[in-house]
Amino acid sequence: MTRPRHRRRQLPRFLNHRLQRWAQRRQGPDGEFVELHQGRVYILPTRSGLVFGAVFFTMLLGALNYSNNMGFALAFLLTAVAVVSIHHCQRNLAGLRLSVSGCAPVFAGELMECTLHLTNPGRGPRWQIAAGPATERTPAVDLPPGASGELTLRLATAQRGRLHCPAIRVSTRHPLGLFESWAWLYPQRELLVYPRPAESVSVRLPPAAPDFENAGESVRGTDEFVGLRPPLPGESLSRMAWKAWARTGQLLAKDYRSGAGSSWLDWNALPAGDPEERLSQLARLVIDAEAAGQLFGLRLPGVELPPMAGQDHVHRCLAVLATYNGELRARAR
Amino acid sequence: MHAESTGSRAAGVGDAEPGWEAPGAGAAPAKGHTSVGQLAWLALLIGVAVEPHAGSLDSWVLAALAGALLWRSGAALWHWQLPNTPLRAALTLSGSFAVVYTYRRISGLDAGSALLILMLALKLIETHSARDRSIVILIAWFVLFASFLREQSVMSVPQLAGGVVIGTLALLQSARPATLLTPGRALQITGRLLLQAVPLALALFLLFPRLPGPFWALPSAGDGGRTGLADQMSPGDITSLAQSDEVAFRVRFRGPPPAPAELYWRGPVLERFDGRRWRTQRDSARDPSGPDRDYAARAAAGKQLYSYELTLEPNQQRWLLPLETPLSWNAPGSTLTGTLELLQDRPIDRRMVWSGQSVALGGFSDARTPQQINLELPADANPRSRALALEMRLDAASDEDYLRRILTMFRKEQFFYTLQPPALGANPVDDFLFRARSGFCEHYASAFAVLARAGGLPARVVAGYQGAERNPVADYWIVRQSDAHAWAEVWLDGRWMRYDPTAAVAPERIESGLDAALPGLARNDLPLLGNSEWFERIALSWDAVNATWDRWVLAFGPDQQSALLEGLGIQSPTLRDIALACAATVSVVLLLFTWFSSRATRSRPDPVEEAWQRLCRLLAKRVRAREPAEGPAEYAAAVARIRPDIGATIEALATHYLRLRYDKIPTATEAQHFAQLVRQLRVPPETAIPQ
Repeated sequence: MTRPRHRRRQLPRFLNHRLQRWAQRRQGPDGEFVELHQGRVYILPTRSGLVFGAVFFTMLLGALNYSNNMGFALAFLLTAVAVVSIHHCQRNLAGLRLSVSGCAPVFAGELMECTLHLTNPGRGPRWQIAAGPATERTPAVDLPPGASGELTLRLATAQRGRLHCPAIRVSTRHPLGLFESWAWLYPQRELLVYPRPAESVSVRLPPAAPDFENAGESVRGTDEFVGLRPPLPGESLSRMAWKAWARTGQLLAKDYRSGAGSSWLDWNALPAGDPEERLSQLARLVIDAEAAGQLFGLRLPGVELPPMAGQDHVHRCLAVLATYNGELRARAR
Repeated sequence: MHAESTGSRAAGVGDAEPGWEAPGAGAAPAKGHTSVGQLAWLALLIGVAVEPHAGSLDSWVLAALAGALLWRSGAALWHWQLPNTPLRAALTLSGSFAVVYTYRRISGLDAGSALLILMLALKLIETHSARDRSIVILIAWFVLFASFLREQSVMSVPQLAGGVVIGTLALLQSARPATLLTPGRALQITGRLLLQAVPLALALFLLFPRLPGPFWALPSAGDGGRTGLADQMSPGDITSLAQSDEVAFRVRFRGPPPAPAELYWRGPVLERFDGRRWRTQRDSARDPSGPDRDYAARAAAGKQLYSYELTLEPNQQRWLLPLETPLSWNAPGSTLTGTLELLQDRPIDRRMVWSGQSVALGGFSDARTPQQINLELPADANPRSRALALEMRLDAASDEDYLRRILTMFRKEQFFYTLQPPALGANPVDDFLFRARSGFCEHYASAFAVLARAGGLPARVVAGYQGAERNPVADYWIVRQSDAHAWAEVWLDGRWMRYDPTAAVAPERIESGLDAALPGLARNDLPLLGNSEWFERIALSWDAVNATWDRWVLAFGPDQQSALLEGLGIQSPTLRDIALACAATVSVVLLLFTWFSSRATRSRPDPVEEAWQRLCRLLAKRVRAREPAEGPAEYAAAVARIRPDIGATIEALATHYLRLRYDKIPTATEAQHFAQLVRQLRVPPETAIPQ
């Protein structure tokens, strides 16, 4: 069949939604690591499963009509195989260990990538475990006993803001494709979507401090802590970020810069208009400023981030832009 | 959590559930791709399913299927172009027309299976996705099912087993979108599935309520050529039956069997004669009260009683064919009529097993005098025979003497026993007695009964079987269609007496069967191997296997099911009882299965997880509990803020834990090491910390 296949759902959208909500109430939110116990693995026949059932029933009627014992034997054997496959299908998921990682923030319009880690702690192999929408094209992993695998999930983002991580559906149709068992995972994660950066900015980047360009090493004064950076040779031990090292295992140095060369990215400096457009432009400015290696601060009505540099600062700024609610604040004022 | 929502324009965040994208194109396998390996499995299954039909189908149907297979393989191997939609529609239409043209119908077994196989071929050339493959498997299974309507002998058992095993394997491989399982792995999974399925299937086979009888018409084609006795007999009918080697029924005697000459199996009693054809009484004219109560009692006293069990092949007729003369029988739904026919209330459309007791007598008493119908002869038919009868009756001293004279005539004069009797004219009995003088048993029985009637004696023709072949391998007797026979019955002195004119013409036929009477008889069984003894023995062994199969598997029906349940202690089970027993057994089997499988899936306790849980419990008691949404790293950081004294240790342990979780499965030593680290952790009470 050559016609395009769309997302095929086992259940009507409405029912699927209700069921998922019910399962969520039943299960509660999931922690970091989830072991799928049998009670949260659901199973239903697939469409092929229903068609097979109908044909087996027809065979049974035919065998009854013709008193054909070989016909009975075939119909009962096939039915029994299908029934037994229910257990195999459910067992293929039950006991699986799952966790989610990744989900780094993206700009609106981009695909957010999360990684689902699957571990098979059982004694037998597991086959064809897929995650995400149930389509034929969803890649699936086979997990030998004790093995781990990964599946990448992608989430389309349209608007900036905080996104509650949608439920992840882990499913399998192994062994015969007549039944699909699945489990819903409710990761307690907030996914952050930055505003889509504007193509061009209507205002010029605020001028940088004149001494910044040739300041070089001297800029790394002791004025302000701006973030972490890879240590330079001969770095003073007091500059090392020991706490972060204990946490991440990566040795970094604390970066201090003088506030003199800083500029302010200001909401009010942009032409009044659509607040979303303003946020997009600010996002563009943040990206450009970081690319230029500038120290910059962000100023929005009600929010002010002092000038700093470094990736952490960029993310902090973009996070503020992502979650900023201008109108609300404007009204509150 | 949405306190800082992004305003009205960003409303999409909360309400419509955002969904995960289907993975990007390119990363996933090509849409609806069927690999060569998957095709090979499908082809194998199709071969197994279609093979039993091959003999009875027109060759073009098979050619179409082979062509479709070739085309699809070509597409998979060498990227041939598969037909587009208009071409497929054209093929479908022309195929259906061809079936209608070939078979002149679309119902019936031959046309139906041709249509199914054609559907299979058409589906094959549009097979791309897993769904298409599963439909091919489904049609193939249905074709296999249809083959059992043709044939369900022992030979079809490998067909059933092969179809189920290969079909399951094919379905297993088809359900996978990308790579095939290795054959060993696939066999292992299939084997496990089937081993678990067999007990369930057996329970269903034995206990699923079997309803008696067809709900709609049986297929005519395929079963149409079924041979057997009928409720009427014209000259030549039994002659054509005698050419068939088909088994009519098998008999197992408990105790000693009767002599071969005494093996008369009583079928239809033909009383109405129209000058050419003998017919049974209409059902409405049959005596409902059954025979005289002591019809055989006097004669049976002191005689040998024969007990036997008879496995009757389905023949779409109602006669149970007991040994003459039946005394008692155990066959539900049957009655003994006044003419001593053992009649089932419905046509026998399944293999039937029943047991009975008989005495081997050549007659039985009847208190009722025969009706006028037993004397009737058409006034204008067979005038010469009637003249002969009057002449002979005048010469004879008694009725018995008269009948003896007829038999003597058959024996002494030039009468021949043959399977190739010449065609008879308008007055068949005259033609037979005065011109042809050669015929088969029905010619003699018919002529004898006509002569008896013309001589004023009530007479009728009885059809049935005579003789049997003993199978020494399993000690039972085979009665074939070639043993079909007809004899006459005459009313003498208050008794219906058997007269078999064939015994006068060809005594060997009665003593030792048709082959002895007609040695040159060429029936169509393997002429090359002919009469060699070992072949005979193999053939008989094979028949014994078939007989066992028929008796114990194919004859299993409502009666056997009831007997089985009675054996289990349920007295005279109703359909409801059977359904309940079936449901209960299936539930028990499934529960046992679930229990075993849940024991098998229970995963090993995870020492790393246990240790981490212990750490969390300890910290919950001494510092603070973990929020449900808090990850290990966040939790450790939070603990470190509250209790800087142990913070570094806790954070190190959390890091350690994460590493064990995210990297490959830790070895036992690694896991134990972590558990030991947790066990060694001491969390002093907060008051002990100097502020």
